[in-house]
Amino acid sequence: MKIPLALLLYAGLAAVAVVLIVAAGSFPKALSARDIGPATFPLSLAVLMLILMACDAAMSWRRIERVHVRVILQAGSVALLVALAVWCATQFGFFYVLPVALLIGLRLAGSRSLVANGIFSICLPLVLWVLFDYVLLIPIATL
Amino acid sequence: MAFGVTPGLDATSGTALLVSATYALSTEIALAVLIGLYTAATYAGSITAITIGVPGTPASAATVLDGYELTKKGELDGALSISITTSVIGGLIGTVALVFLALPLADVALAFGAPEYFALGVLGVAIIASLVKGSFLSGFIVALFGLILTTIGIDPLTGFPRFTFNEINLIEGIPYIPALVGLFAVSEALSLLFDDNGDGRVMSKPKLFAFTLSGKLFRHIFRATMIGSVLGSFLGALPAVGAAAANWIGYNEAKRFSHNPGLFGKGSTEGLAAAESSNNATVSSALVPLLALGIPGSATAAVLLGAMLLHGVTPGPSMFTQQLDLVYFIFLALGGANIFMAIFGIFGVGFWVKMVQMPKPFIVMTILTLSVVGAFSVRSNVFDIYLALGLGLFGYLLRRAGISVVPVVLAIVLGGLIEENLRRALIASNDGIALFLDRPIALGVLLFAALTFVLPFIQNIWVMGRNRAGAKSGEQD
Repeated sequence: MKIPLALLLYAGLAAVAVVLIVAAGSFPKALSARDIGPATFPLSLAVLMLILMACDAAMSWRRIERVHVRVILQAGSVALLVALAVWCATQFGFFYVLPVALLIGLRLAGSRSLVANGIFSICLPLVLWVLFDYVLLIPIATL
Repeated sequence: MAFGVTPGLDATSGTALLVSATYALSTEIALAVLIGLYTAATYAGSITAITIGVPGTPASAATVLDGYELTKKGELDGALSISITTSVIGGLIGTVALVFLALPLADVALAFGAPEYFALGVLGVAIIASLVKGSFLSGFIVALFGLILTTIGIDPLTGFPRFTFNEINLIEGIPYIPALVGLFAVSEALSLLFDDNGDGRVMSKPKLFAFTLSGKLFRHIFRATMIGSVLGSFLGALPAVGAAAANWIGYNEAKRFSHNPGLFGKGSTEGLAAAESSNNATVSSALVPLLALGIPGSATAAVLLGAMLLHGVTPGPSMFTQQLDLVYFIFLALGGANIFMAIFGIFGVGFWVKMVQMPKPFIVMTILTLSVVGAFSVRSNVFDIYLALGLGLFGYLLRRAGISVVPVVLAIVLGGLIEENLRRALIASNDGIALFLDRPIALGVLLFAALTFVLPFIQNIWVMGRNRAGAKSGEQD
């Protein structure tokens, strides 16, 4: 099934804009009469964005390219898998999870060579460990 | 170099990935690393363009025309030699342009106040938004979304938490680095994984030391190199023009002034020289608006601005009075980056050509891993990784819908400056919004920003009207 992706994105952005407009209603007023306060700037942006999206959708909806729904599902699945690996890393430790995640990731991404996948899955975490924890002194094992 | 030779990756995604790795380094070393990456990646895209006919970066698209033709004729070594020589010349001329343009511009900008900075911020976002590919309004729409993202977190003037929805991780707002990593690097990894980025094969392999440029050939390409370098230096300093446009404009102008324009596109050494010198000349000159005004003129400059802010450096005219040493260091780093690029380009070309053939799954997994590490390492906060993944997915979908992510990034970087300066200007004035009538520079800049929006809008409506009229008359016929 093909969908007009740009319109779908606009619908999502419109929903965000509406939520922000509603939330901005509870913001306090400006501290000084000269200031516009915390709500006016984001409110103006959200309203302007809604107007422009409506204009763009009206002017270009016939020309909007349709994208297979599989594209969204595939990209979303990858993002979810990475998020799952990150969650596992927070539970079991980054450098224990990373080699396993890389092995699975390489296989899913289409790399068939088990030897090359294995070497890469060990070498990349090692390089990162040495580089970040010992050279740059940025602790990433705490992830 | 590695980021540049990998098809699909470029200097912007490379700098975005490496910003967080430079967090623990001193400001000078961090900037030198990122400037070196920016310079080398812009050049290295040409290695891919010349060897397999796929531009490694958008900035080397015109390089394919003659570079790949030369390779097909069996002149790979010669093409790579021209590419590195002219890239270094272009880079050095661009650096000289930066020195001569940034200092006087910063002098002028010293007189700027909040209204002018507000206007410059608006102009920076408007120009980038108006020049993106696809529907002309889409650039403005995503730029507005980027600006909205910057309003999340503590309001700078009242201290009220805006749009945080009781999420403690949003109190400080959307952090730059995870946003940059997500929008550039994660989306790039997804694009490499699912989109066709060209999977060419190397037709012939260069020698380990492949430098074969003769004095006669150098004299032949000298004029084209100069045309490309000067044009690139000028175009790079203009906000939003960038290396990709300079690559084509330099190529076309060299063709116009060439004695053999017919050879262009069929393996012309002049065409290759012009394309290569022009894109590298833009690297340095793109830093003119960033250093002198604090406004990034390109996507990579926006990432560099994020890196500078991370290190506590605020670019702009005050940098030329308070941190002049750092400004001179940046000039030197750009010059030094070109020298090192020459060394690695000449002696390591065999290695870089091998990298062009690195299988996609390994590239994708490396980018995703570096993205996770990069997003996490600045604040040691897992929330930032999820944020980068979410924005990465959003960025990928924008790309697939034909909408550029660059306006979002620029808006995220400039949003704070725009709102804060607007409100400071209003608080300091008794005239409300009419204060801009007394500030001719700010008013002029704002009018120009408005023109970048209004002109394409009118043009679009006019074209639609003409098409409709054409369709009606066609029906009547």
